[in-house]
Amino acid sequence: MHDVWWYLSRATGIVATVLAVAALVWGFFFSARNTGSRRKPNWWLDLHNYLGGLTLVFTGAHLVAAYLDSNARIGLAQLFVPGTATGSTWAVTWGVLGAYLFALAVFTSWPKRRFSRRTWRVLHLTSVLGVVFALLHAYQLGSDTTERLFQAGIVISVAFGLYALMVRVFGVVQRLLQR
Amino acid sequence: MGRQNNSNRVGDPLLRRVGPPTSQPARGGAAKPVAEAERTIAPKRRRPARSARFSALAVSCVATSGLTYWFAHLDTSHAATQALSGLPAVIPVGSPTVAASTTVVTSPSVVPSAPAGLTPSATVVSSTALAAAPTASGPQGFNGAVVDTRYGPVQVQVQITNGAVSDVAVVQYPNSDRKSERINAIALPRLRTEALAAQSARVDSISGATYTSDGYMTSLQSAIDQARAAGVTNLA
Repeated sequence: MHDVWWYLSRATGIVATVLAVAALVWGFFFSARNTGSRRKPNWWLDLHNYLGGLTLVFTGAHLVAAYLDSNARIGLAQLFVPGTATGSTWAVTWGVLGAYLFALAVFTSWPKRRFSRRTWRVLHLTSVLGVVFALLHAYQLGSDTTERLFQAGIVISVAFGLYALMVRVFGVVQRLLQR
Repeated sequence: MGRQNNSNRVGDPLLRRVGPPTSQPARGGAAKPVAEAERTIAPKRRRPARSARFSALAVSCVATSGLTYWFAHLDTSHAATQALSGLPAVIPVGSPTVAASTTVVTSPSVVPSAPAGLTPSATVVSSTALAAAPTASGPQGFNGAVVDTRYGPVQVQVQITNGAVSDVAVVQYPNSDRKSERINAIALPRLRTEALAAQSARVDSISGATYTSDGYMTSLQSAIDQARAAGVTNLA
């Protein structure tokens, strides 16, 4: 029973990563014109925003569980300051940076109109890097990295993310070529 | 509000045509009924993906609970104990038949016949050749070098029967924390199976347990070398 925080930190970490990938894929599909998702933009955008927010909630739960897990030996400094973890420094750092970048994307979405379109887009796209960091963090630090199911999950997540990114990038390239 | 009244007074053509709002008193009315009317007219905030939102939340919560339950069910220590209990026991080391030697090696590349693909992370700190007292029919055990990896020491014992590797036992492995224990519970049985199939220390590293794999291979190779030196086997 004393390991419940460890189980929770693993579970919330996995769910947060899946949600982050889902939000990313949803966002790419929404912004790509050739997916046809712009026909129902409100529904699509609403779910994208919601998935982003939900990711942040589960990331918060993951941080709390990791902090309360006495065996993880993670303090407040390690949770919030990149590079301060003594063991697996880089793996923890990826997680901290990923959380920050994702939070930046979510929190700058609310006052979106206060930023110029270009600035907002740059800020919002940092979440892509955030998801990459989260996946790296999961792969390097995850307690389940040796599980085939976990490895398959990582591969599927990367594949989905890349597919959505390609759909988006090819859409941009296509439009540029048409001009 | 005052502005509306003013425009009414000066004669707004649109207002003259449609008339004043029904809920609003014509002039000098109390503010309260107008506010109530505005409240009823104000559009409700739309949540287009309401059911999808609910589904996402429900799936996330169920997945978290399910995974937590599953992790608790497959408790690490239990799983590790079970997995490692399948490994052969270390043969009690009797009086050494091969002279014990202690060598300090700084790089695995200089270990004689070191398997290819070793990373510099595995550093042999001592190599003690201890062999179990040979019996007439039973296997002979040779303890490999203690290899210090990033996560702790790895040492294996090769058991030779009729010149072939009949089994590989683990003398020590990194188990200082749950993660190492869990990883090694999966990696060590696989490494043993591969080593038995290959009849050598040239086996593939286990993904996610690279350090243990490297340490395992180095220790196994040194154990095989000692068995060869003792004339028990001619395996490389």
